[in-house]
Amino acid sequence: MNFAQFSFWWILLSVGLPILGIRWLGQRLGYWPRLGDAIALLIISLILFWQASPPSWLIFVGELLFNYAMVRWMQSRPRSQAKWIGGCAIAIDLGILIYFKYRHFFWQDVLGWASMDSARTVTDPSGASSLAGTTFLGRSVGSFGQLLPPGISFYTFQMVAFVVDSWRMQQPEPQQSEQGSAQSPVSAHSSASALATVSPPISAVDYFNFASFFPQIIAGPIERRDQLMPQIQGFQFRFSPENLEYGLRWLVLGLFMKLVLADNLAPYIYADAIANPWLVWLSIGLFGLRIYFDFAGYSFIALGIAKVLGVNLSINFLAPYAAHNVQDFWRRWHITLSTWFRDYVYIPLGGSNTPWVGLNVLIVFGLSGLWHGAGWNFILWGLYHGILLLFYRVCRTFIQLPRLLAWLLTFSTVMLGWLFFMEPRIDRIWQKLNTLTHLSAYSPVQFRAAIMTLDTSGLSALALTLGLAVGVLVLEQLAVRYKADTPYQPLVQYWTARGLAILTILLAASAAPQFIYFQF
Amino acid sequence: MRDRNWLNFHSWRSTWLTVTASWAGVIAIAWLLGVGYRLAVSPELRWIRSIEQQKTQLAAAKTASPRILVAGGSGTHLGLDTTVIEQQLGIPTYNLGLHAGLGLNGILAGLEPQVQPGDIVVLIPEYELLSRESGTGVFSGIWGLTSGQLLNMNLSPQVAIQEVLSAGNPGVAAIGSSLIGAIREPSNADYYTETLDSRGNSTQLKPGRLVPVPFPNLSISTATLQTLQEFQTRLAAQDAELVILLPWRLGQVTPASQNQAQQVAQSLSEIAPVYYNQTFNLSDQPAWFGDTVYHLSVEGRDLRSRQVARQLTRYRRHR
Repeated sequence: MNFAQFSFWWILLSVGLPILGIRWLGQRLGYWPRLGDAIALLIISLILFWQASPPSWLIFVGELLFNYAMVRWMQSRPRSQAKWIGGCAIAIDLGILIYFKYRHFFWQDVLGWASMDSARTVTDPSGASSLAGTTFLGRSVGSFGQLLPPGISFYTFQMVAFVVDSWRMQQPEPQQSEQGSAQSPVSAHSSASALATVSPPISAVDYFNFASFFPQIIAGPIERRDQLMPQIQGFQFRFSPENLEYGLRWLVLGLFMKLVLADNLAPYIYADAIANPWLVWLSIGLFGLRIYFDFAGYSFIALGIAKVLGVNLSINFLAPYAAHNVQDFWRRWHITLSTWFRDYVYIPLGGSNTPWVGLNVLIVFGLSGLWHGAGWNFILWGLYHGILLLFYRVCRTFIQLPRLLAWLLTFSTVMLGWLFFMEPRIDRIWQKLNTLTHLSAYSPVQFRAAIMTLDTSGLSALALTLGLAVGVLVLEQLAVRYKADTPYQPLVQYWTARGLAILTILLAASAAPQFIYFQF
Repeated sequence: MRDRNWLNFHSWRSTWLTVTASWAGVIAIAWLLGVGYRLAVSPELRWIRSIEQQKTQLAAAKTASPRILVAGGSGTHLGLDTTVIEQQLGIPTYNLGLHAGLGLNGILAGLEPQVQPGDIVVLIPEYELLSRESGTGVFSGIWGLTSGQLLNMNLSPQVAIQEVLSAGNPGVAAIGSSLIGAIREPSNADYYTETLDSRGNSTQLKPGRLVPVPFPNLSISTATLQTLQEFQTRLAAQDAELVILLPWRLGQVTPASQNQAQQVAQSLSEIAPVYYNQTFNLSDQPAWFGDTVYHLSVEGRDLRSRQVARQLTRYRRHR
């Protein structure tokens, strides 16, 4: 479900418009059922997911059915049993995620064993190796084992959160009688049974819509039960001029960030440059900008589409490059993932209220890095941020930096961290770090060589794109400084949004690379 | 911070009509600006239209049958001297090569109206034309709109609409170059100005000195095979014949790349006769090439033209 591809919009309109037409006719004739809107939304979501990846669709639907059954079962059982049912569901969900995303990493990189799939490698007449292919409904899908279902990291976390939140809703509040005596066993059992069913069961359609809501299923935001479910339960399309206007503003902002800023910066990221420090810094800086605009752009497109439908998704970014410290950065970057790890990993580990808070922080950030990709570099990136955060927590009590210096330090350390994220090979990471730390490498010759890498049209395109990117970042900074509702308030005004639409049409990259976060 | 312009929903902005009309209007204006910009400013597009018009006029001249019409992208326009072929074969031979940016469907749509009964159509498609599923290129939409050939390009509705929309997208590189050009004369101002000879051949080849790099994956899409099969069928109905030549391409020649080119040739041979040399027209000789991996130098073009003449010997007219 790549918002940057025309095929997504074509399918959405090809499927959505007839369904809405049937809905309109049904409502006029009085034949549109109460659940009609919810079922229509589900059909649209599942068709879009099918188009994205038919083999993954089966896996996803299977997980939907499994999780729904487990949650219903959990909610019908007493508290003590519900914990084990929920734990089993979570283990299986995570097991599926680990199988598809991490098994090669564990087998080869962690355990040092040969590829699990090597026995099924075949060589075709061209000399190229490939895995034994399979077909699904007549379409070649390669090896099943090579599948990475789109969005699996996102929807798995959303499903896990739903299980935990549903279980927590069954948790009794700590009770103390005024007399301080324990309740009788009979009354305690009665109250536990009652609490086991305190929340009405979620219908299948509502749960499926929650987990498969097409604007956010592939790359987030990772929504919580208390945020999205109230809007999904008994879903009704809430088309209105207001929703359309605001939805289009966010949609255009997202498309501008993705198609104009992120995609036009991509060609100038020279990931293979190792020996030229100017090119290495350029690549790191541009990658840092690209991944922000790419991911934030996707999030805002999702937010805009959902708004048009009458659903308010969580905002996933709050101008992260306006942060003045690492802790603030992580309150602004991929917010729904950060809060997920905080609520479901960090706090259950004890959070900040334990002597081993430092270890908790490193565990959480290491896992967060691993979530992004099955590679040591991602773990390194996560740990790098964990160490930065611990360092900040220690230093903030006795060091107060001027605002500008604090921002500069935060921005530069975050940017340097992208080196670990973008470079999959550890040996090349060290080579690049070596290049960056050798002052002798920063020669005029190297600088000229870096400039020569770009031809005239390349320089002008990069300059124009960077100018627009800096403009956006400055507006974000100003919005933060003057405490706007969101840092993007200046960009979603009536005329600014229309101006961004014009710029998007004129400046969008013609060959849109994939969304970076699709690989997660 | 409240949006000053939003006011309340009882104002004139609150209706469906005004919201959709304002957005549609902005999109339409932007698209028209983009199309206008590309037509007025883009040197590459003006060059394509210029040489296309010249070649169409040349090919329209009444000439005794048979004729040879050689078509393809700029690799054909800047890689072949059809007068050499004409001398060898005794058959009027026209160079109708244009630009791979039109896409295979665009090139065939422009070519087909010029085919007369008895013509021999020689297609030399670049691999970029063969590999794309959509049959389009960066100039397909705007060229199709301005030449009136969009409906003749046999595109699916989805692709056609996408190409129409992309016609209004000049891109940041073009606009950046324009900004530079507004300040100083572009260094490549003469690149897109040239005259053609009487057979449509370029009189100004583009020199260069490239270093051979590894080939990308050389492949042909299923849609391309279908498009070419349908094209061949239509030509046959007009009593015309299709011949396909593999393009000359510069790169690091390896067994793997030759295997890939061989597979492409085998696929194409099921549609029409395919001609190539022992390396499947892959070359690692920079001296034969110009400023791109398909454009040829004077020496390379001469060698290539003689090679094509030898490969088409069966069509030689005996005087």
